[in-house]
Amino acid sequence: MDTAGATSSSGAPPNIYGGLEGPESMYLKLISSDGHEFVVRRDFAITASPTIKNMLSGPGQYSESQPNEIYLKDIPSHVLINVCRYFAYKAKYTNSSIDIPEFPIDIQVVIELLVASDFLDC
Amino acid sequence: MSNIVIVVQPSILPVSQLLREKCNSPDFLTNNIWKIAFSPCSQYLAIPKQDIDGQHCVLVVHCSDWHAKNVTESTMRIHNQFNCTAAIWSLAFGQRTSKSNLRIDRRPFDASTLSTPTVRRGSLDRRSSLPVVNRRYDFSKNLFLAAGLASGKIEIWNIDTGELILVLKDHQLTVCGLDFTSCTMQLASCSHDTTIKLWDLFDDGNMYKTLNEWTHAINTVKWSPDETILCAVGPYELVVLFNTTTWKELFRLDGHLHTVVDCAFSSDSAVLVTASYDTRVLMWSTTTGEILKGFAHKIPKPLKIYAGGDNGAFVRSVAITKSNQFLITACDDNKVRWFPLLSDQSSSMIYEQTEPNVLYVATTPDGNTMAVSNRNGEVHLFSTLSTLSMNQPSSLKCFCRSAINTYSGVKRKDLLNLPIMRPLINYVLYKDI
Repeated sequence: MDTAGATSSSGAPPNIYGGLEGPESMYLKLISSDGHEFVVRRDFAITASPTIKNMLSGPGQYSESQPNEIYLKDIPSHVLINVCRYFAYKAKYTNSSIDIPEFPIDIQVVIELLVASDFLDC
Repeated sequence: MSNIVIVVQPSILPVSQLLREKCNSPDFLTNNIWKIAFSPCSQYLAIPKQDIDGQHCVLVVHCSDWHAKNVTESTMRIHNQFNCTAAIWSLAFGQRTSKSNLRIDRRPFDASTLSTPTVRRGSLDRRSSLPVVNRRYDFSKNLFLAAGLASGKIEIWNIDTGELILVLKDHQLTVCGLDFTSCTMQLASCSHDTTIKLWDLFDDGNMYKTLNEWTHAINTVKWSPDETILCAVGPYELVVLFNTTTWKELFRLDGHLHTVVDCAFSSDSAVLVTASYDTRVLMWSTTTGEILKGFAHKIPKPLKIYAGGDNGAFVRSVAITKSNQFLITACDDNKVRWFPLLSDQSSSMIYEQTEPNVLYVATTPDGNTMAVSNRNGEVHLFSTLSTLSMNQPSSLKCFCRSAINTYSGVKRKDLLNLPIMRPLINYVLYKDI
């Protein structure tokens, strides 16, 4: 799910997306165990998962060599894509006034998704 | 776990006043309304009444929007009034719906211990599974209301056309409990003649099974939402779960101290709550048969001699709201209480409201409205929307638990052997609350 989020530059075309640079970047890159890179909104990921928040801000074993990149070595890509969808679902329906539909989960991934959601605490 | 303060403020709806006027109109006698029922589409409400000549009838009220602010005559009207030959003890709405989680799906499941559930009728070896047989009645299209009468008959009415379609006559005594399955139009009925009978409406109302292992009446029967379990509750502390494919007893649950009168399943069929005259509502796991939690209605807890006798706080009915957030109970101490169902913090009520002589609580399947009936022949309507935590999406872990339980179907025992860590298995079995 690589978005077309180009890193911000000074010669500005009308659609500028926030980039991956720096501590206040708008996006984060989550890397699954099989190498897929998922770019998600930083604020969505941080509000949904305290584990990701700790990985970014805490010292020690969670500090990453590349900033704004989190390597999740236990989560395969077919599970991580559902996690990213959940981040968007939660961000959309938090404090919403309309009926919240149920989050659809495919039967094939549900057990691994449970393990991943337990790890990410989301 | 986020600590959201749960605020419950059910507010009375404007249409409630209109409904009260209709119920209290001089055409009707004041009767005890023991049961009411909402239709699966949430637009119809059935109320048993008795009119001025002593004739028993069922009022079906139609309202397109229970939450309408400007209440006019056209918002809510009496859609049908069905006259019945005897007193009405139970009501159930049935409608054929197609639900995606019951589709036949033979893709291999990754753990190879859970299997995808098959459509229940297809797995049974009966004539009714053939689609080409000619049938006299067609139950696949409209909305139907079944009424269980004191004479032992079950009358089935078509709501859209208003006509009596079928009368099922097999019980000897009062039919006190009725329940339709959510998709396949199977009807379970229980009666004071100590039997439970199962009818297949797609097979012209053929009664294909009678369960009669008891010497006392059965109060209520309920199907689980995935149709794999049938729960029967009755006096002498009886709570029994049946496997609906083999009709063998799955569990006989022990824990109550008095007659058990009502039960309800959670939406993923993993949790059963039962209400009893011993002032408690108990929450059971349908996978292991253990008690998960108890909800008390009389604090301090009564001694066993009172719990098993006259304690003034019989819990008459219980309902679970949509997405398993709350439990609503009606108790003889004139209170309607709300409890958080899946909270791991406490089992104390979060809201109570005084309703004199309350008898029964029903909620709409869409989760927005609640109706409460009492001994004075009235039905009051409340909105269940004004609760803070209902506006937040649940956690992903919660969704996964619900999905695993919904998909496990008949192979529920295999959940104990999933290839994941023990704390996660306990989470899936709801043991952490």
